[in-house]
Amino acid sequence: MPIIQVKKLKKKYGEFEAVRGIDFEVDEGEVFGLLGPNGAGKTTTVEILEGLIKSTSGEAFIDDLDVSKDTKSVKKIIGVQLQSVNFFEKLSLFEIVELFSTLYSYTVDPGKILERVGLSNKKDSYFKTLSGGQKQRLSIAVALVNNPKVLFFDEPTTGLDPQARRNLWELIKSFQEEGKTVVLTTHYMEEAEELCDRVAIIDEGKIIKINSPSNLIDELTKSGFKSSKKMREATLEDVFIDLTGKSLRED
Amino acid sequence: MKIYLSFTIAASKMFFRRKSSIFWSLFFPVVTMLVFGNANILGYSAPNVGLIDYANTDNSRLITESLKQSKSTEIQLILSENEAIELLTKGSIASYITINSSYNNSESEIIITTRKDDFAEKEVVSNLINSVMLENKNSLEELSNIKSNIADINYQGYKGFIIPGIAAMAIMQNGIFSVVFTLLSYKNQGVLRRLQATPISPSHFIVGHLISRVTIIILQTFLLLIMGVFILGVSIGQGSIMAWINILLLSLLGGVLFLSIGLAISSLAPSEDSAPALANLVTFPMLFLSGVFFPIDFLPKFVGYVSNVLPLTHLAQGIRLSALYGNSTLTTLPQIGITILWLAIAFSICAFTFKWE
Repeated sequence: MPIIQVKKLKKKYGEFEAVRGIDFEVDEGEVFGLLGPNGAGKTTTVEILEGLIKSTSGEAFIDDLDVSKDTKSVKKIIGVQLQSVNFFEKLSLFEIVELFSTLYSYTVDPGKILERVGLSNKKDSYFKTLSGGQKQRLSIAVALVNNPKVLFFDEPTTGLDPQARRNLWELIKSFQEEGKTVVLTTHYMEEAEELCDRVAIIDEGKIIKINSPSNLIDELTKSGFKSSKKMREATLEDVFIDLTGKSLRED
Repeated sequence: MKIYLSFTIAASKMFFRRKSSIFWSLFFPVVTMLVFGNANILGYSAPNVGLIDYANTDNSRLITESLKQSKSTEIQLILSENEAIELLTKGSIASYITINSSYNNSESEIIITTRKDDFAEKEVVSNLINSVMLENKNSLEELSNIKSNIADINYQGYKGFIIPGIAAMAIMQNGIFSVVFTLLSYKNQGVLRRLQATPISPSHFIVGHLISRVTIIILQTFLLLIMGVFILGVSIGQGSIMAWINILLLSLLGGVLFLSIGLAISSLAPSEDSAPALANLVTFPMLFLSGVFFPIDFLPKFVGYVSNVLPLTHLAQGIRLSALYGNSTLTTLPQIGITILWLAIAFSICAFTFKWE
């Protein structure tokens, strides 16, 4: 039963077509990845689904609600983490989460939400004192205030160190275990492989392929592809984590 | 409703936690007021001299006409003592000359009435009258005595003038700049965009912000006036509660007015970074042309016409009338009316041009 349906979605900015008619569906409880190089149209697609921009043509539904018509109802059931957002200065993390929860008329315990994303010890700090990974985790905390059915993460791990990235992966996996649907954009392939049930590969505003990461790899190897790099039992990142430890380097 | 309240509380917390906002909107106007209030600049009132001609004889008319020719002062004909006292209290004249009905008799006399301690004005006016009499020596049968008199008025001097002026200036500065800079920083930081991803419209946030700022502006106005009372020893409102209520009303209206002008500036600015420059362009002339630091009567006539159009002129005038002379809402209706008119103009500009991003 798909919770997200996208049909022939297009977005034009003047002459430039950012999204050129894409179709896909996401099942409830799935972690769905939108992969593609910078400027491929990932963010535009996600922002149409989030109700931030209007599509030029085509349709999109979340939980059977039309994104362009029932935008407000859609916003109530989704949680959003945007690329490069700063939050209010001079408000503590606790106050930021509390403020956002009132916007959904939702009564939540901001302390619990901050604990969920590992920011309990920072609840009285201001946003600008946070490290990159902590900022992303606050952004995710704010996305959780309305107990959303669908979560959108737009390049959540860009610019983070390996420890912070793996920490965020664990967090995203925990949402899947809870049964939430997650839509994730990224240009890190190992991240997609680690987290996503299925991925859509987008380039120049079009979906080239949709499948699970392992099927996509199988397809390629069956066609006779041989990696020029010899596969080893571990990667350099594994070495790095082994040497520097798994714990986060930010307090 | 709860959302507006949350935003109002959040905006107020952010205001009081930011040192620069406290400095510019509370500390800075207070210091300006204390500096100017203690400078006690004399003779700030208009170079106008009133004239009451009770005698109305050939001689008195001759003197009146000659006085009118004088280039150093502007003679304003007045019909009664009461009117003269009123004008003197308001500062539209610096002194007045009374030619008594007994003029032409041997004990004829001319009286100069000035404010307490205004010796300079007394000297200037009596020299003027002497020179006029000497000029007309041939036509006048005799030279009159010049007597001086001190008006029995509660005149507060420059302090009394500057305090309401600074209060009005602070309303303008706080109103315009708090909106322009807040919107600029939230747009740049993407905060407004993040709010757009929630089910509420960012207008809730803007309205919450405005409510918080209007409250702060009212507090700021009363802080300035109360400091004026206790530190500069000025009496505000002449003991009339209606005057204080009118000041509350004016700071509320003025606050909303200048906040909307700030919003209008943010929407009209061609690029985001040009908004603060545009805000300066709007506020700077008003600092000097709106009777904040000196009466607009001091300005050349054609500049005075411009002054009379500016919104700050009327806000400052309204607050000053209540603070110095205890005027109530009913007696400051013209000032309130013009403030509301400007409010309507600023509101319509916002309504047509405001962009969320």
